[in-house]
Order: sequence, then structure tokens, then C-alpha cells
Amino acid sequence: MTARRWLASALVLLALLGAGLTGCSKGERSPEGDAGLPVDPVLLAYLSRAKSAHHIADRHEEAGALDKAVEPLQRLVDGPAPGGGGASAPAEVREVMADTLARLADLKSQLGQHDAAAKDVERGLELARETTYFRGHLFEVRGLVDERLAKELDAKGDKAGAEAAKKRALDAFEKSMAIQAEVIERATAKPEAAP
Amino acid sequence: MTRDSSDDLALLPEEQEEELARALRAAFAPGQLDPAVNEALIAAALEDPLAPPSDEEIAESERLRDALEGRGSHASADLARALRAAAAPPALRELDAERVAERVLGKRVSRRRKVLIVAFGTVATTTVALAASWFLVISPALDGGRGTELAAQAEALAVSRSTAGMFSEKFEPGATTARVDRIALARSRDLRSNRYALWGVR
Repeated sequence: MTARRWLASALVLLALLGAGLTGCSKGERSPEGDAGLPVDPVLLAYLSRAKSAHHIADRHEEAGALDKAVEPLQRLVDGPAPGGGGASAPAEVREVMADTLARLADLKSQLGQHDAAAKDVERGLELARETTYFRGHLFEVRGLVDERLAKELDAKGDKAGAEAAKKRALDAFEKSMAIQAEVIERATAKPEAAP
Repeated sequence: MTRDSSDDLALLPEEQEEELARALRAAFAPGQLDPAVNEALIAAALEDPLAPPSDEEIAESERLRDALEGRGSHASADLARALRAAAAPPALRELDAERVAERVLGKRVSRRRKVLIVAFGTVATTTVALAASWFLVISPALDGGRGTELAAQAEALAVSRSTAGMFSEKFEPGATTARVDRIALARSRDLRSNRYALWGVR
């Protein structure tokens, strides 16, 4: 093997260690944790499934059947997803799942399932770690969840519990506003074309 | 086979034609097996099941084992592989990634380079990383102009990435479906674009 080939092999290894190299196509850098693989049919299958789940949920929600609206969305977030649907999943999967969890939390909160709603928000925040509207929206939903809980506790006479929930709601709304402001500032500084 | 040669085929004798027709009908819509025939088939298959294997059976089993381990060929090994592929097909993402790598590296890639790809390429991410490093760093150094061409091909592939940039306003309540629709539409365009790129249609 010539010196040039040794150099080439060393560069391969360096490139393999530098995972960011895989995300260089099409001039758009991947966010933190993005798999950066080419868009493939598996990703599209997941997005199609998500689309169907939300449309089904829409129909049930329009009919006032919130419990039925929860079901397809729950199947989506608990079902198969590219990359396992966790932190190592493609960015689109994490973001769609985070948005779906926000919707689930909102629905469950309206159904009085406050603990389940709070867990969905936490799960969504684990997926949407970057400063994006997805993360900001989850904090907004957390605020709504705690606000509803506060009203319920207040109606039951649990004043202390209601006050604590109100405070958590305010904190969540504040956090949501801060995230949204940061996203807007970034977008203003470096506008991205929406497809 | 050309049309002329198929026209030259001789017609089957009437009995063979009937036999073939019966076989095709039986394959398409199998009828009930005669109980007596069924018993006879079972008896024939289970004739002395505890008897030691014959030399022929031992040789055949060794040949099958070798074929399953990648040495030589055996019709039953092909069947076993087909069944395995049907029952547990390899991950689509990995296949896609290997195809992408092959496309990016070109069809005239040498055996030595293919070995390198396979060694690093069982994991999809690694394969793509190798492909990327090849066309971005090494190939230009070794092949001159070819590297530029390969880099241009890879530039055409849309990769998985955040959709955050697609949304310029804060999320409105009740608009989740519209957002998911929009993401799915954008990525379906990306997939179509990738297919065209891999086909060399641009």
C-alpha cells in the first residue's frame, strides 16, 4: 500500500468519526442528533402514518369524542418509528412525535387525565431539545395542562394545590414565550426559506 | 428467447397437454386430497423415521451445511435463504444506504473498494459516511476530476433534517394536522427528488 493510500485510509477513519460529514448534502446542516441519512421510503411511511393518525383524530375531535381522538395518536407515539422514535431518530420523526405528544397532552388534559398529560409533555420535551417552535409549543401546552389542573383543584377546594398548579402554568407560559422569542430572533437574523 | 424461436416450439401431445392442464388447475385451485393417497404419502415419508442416515443423506446434509455457510450451492439452501428473507427481510434503510453508496461510488468501483465499503457498510450511517468521505476527500485526491463529479451527484441527495425552518410563526392550537401534512408533503418531494438523483435524471 502506498503512502497516499495510507493517507486515504486515515482520512476515511477520520470521516467516519466525524458524523457531521454525513449531513452535508443539500447545503443544510443537520441539527443536534439528526441522523442525516438520505430521505427514504421508511421516513415517508412514518410521516404518512402520522398524517393519517392526525386526520382521524380531527374527525373524532370535531364530533366531540376526545377519548376517541386520543386513540390513533397514542398508537402513533407508541408504534414503530424510524430510529426507534427516540433521541437518535431522524429529526422529522422526533419533531412530529413531539408535536403529536403536545396534542395528546392537550386532549388528555381536557379529559381530566392530568398526570398522563404531564407525562406526554415531558416525553415530548425529551424529543424536542433544540430551541424550536416545537419545544416552545410543548411548554405552552404544559401551561394549559397546569391551568386546567389548577381550575379542577380549585373547584375541589384544594386551594394550595391549585395555587401551585397556577404557578407552574405561569412558569411554563413564560418559558414558552422565551423560547418563541429566541426562535423569532434567530429567524430574523438568518431567514430560512419555507418549502 | 426470440419470438421466432418460440414459434418454432412443438405442440405438446394431447395426453401431456391434459396432464399439464391438470397440474396447473391443481396448483391454482388445489382439490381435496384422497384420504387413501394421503395415508400412503405419510407412510412413505415416515418409513422407519429412526433409521440411521444413509451415506447419501449424510453427504447431502453436509453439502447443505456447506451451502448455508457460503461454500458451494444447494437448492435447499437457496430455499432457506428465500424463506429467511421473506420472514425477516433486511432493513430497508440499510439497503437504501448501500444503494446510495454504490451509486455515489459508481458502478465501475473496483473489488478492493467494494470490500472496503462492505467492511464499513453494514451499518447504514457508516456506509453513507464512507461514501461521503470518499467523494469529498479521498476520491478527489486519487482520481482528480472524478471526485468533483461524484460530489456533485451526492449534493443532489436530500437528507433527513429538522423541519423547524419550515415554520415561521409560533404554533397555533389546533393546527397540528396542518403542520404534519406540510412536513409529509415536503419530505415526499425530497424522496422523489432523491429517486430522480439516483436514477441520474436531473
